[in-house]
Amino acid sequence: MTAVAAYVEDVLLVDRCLTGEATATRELFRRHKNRVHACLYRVLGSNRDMDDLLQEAFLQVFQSLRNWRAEASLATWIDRVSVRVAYRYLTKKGRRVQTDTLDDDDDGPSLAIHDSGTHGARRQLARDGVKRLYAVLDELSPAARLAFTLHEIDGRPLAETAKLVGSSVTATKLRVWRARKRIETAAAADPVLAEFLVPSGDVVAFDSIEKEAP
Amino acid sequence: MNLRDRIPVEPLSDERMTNIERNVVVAATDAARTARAPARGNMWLGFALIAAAMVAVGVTSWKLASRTSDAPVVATESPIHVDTTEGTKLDIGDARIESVPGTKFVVTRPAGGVLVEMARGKIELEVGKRGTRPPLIVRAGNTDVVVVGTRFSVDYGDGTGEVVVIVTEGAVDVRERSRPDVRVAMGQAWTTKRGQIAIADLPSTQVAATGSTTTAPLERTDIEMPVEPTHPNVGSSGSSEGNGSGSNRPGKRKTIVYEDDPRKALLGAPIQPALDIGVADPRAALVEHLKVAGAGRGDDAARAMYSVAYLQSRVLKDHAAALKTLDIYMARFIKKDRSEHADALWLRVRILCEKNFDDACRRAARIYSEAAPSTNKSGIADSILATPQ
Repeated sequence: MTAVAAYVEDVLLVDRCLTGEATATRELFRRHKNRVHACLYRVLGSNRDMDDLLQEAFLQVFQSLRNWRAEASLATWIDRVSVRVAYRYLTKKGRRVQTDTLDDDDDGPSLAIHDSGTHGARRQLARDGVKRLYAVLDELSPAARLAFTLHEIDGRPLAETAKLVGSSVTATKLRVWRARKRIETAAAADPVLAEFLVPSGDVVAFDSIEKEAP
Repeated sequence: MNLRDRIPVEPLSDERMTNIERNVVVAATDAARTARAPARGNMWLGFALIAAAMVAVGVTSWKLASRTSDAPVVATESPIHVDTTEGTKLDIGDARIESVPGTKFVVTRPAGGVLVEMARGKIELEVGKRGTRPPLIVRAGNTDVVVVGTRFSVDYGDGTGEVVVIVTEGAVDVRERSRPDVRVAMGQAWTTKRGQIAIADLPSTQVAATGSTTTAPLERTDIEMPVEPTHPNVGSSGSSEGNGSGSNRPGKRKTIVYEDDPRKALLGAPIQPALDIGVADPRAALVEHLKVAGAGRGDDAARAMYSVAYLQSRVLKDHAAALKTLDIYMARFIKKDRSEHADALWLRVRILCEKNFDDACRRAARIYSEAAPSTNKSGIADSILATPQ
């Protein structure tokens, strides 16, 4: 589907949703569920509240759908709503992100198959690296965490990240820089994190391990 | 530090995702419907208030007008027979009827409606909005003129020949023998002259002359109707539907002849084109229109949305998409005055009725006919509705 056709479909789909058409609502959910989930996951890490957060994000999307202006793409607008949901989650007083599935005792069966020898060690290292990275991210301010994760982990350009978090590019850049410094400081005292951040030929990226899994 | 693509997203199981989807769809659908319901409630409340205000104003105006009118107010339920050599002015409460000398008619009230049965002569009527009440009907021989609320005249001559109906305000439906109803709108005349059923837009000067006020004496008017049909198609001027300025120029007459095959009339009727924004590529133009359409709820957005539907249907030949767009158009823009959106409603009629006059086509035709009664195309819509299934 061309970008134009997708754009037209989005406009028409939104209007069908606004009339309360269940099939349209379902269609919109299915089209965007993976991107919303990915966005939340990269900002918050593996999370026990992910189901609630995903649901909350989509409820916010549908509640605010009337405010969508077609000059921004629907996907970008949905990303913005998702980021707001993540931000609210992070700013709740006393909240710490409930990381779960990266715990050592929570490996999925597909991972266990190849979990042996050097390969297994590298995998474990990557898993530990991610876990420690998000532990450091827990100590950042919500705004800094959003800026860092959206830019460095989700790979969005600074300008887009700034738009998503509602800040200037300069402020966003500063937050990313500070977050990076904080992580590098933590990595100086944590060899596992350091190895994860600067992967050499011996250290395999976490996702490449995932890709090797059947 | 390069972390991009190094932290994979752990997928949610199908079961978890399905649960989320179910919850979201139910909640979002309910919320959307609830959000629409109060709006509609407010809308009806608004209509009710406006209607109440209009009724109050109307009653007051009517009473004030009645005091100054020299027409006798007759509100009796028994038949009223008029047969005088002088012209008369009669106020029956529902309507004012003025007749030329030598006119003969009877007014009765069958089943809450009003029936004015003419034997000869000419009457001019000013009829208030009837709302849900049964219609006022003027019967002249085989011709019934059904009135919702308007100002018009019926000329039955000597009571043996042709009937001429001239509408100066609103619209009427004319029924003649076994033919389908024809809607005659403001500024149009209808006649059975020379055995030909014809309807024509009147020159503006003639409209002014025939649309006499109650203070001017009513005279016999010999309306010159087209003798030969110019073309079976409607609105051959190519202008947009409705009150196109070209149709009422003195001396210029756009003729509509009742077409036995309304499909030909449908296909011949012009469609308002998309807004020209100087973009030749229809898909690029479509996107530009969508940007405007999606950005607001005003007239510009409505025109842009119509343009999207036009391009989808007439240029890209994607009629299904165009219908979806028009459905959205109706939901989004049509609030009170549907006549402002006649172009969009007509495009729906055109798309839905091109192949056959099925239920969807007839619904669209009915919506158009009710929304834009003062347009030539409503005659085509009415013809579609009258075509046996």
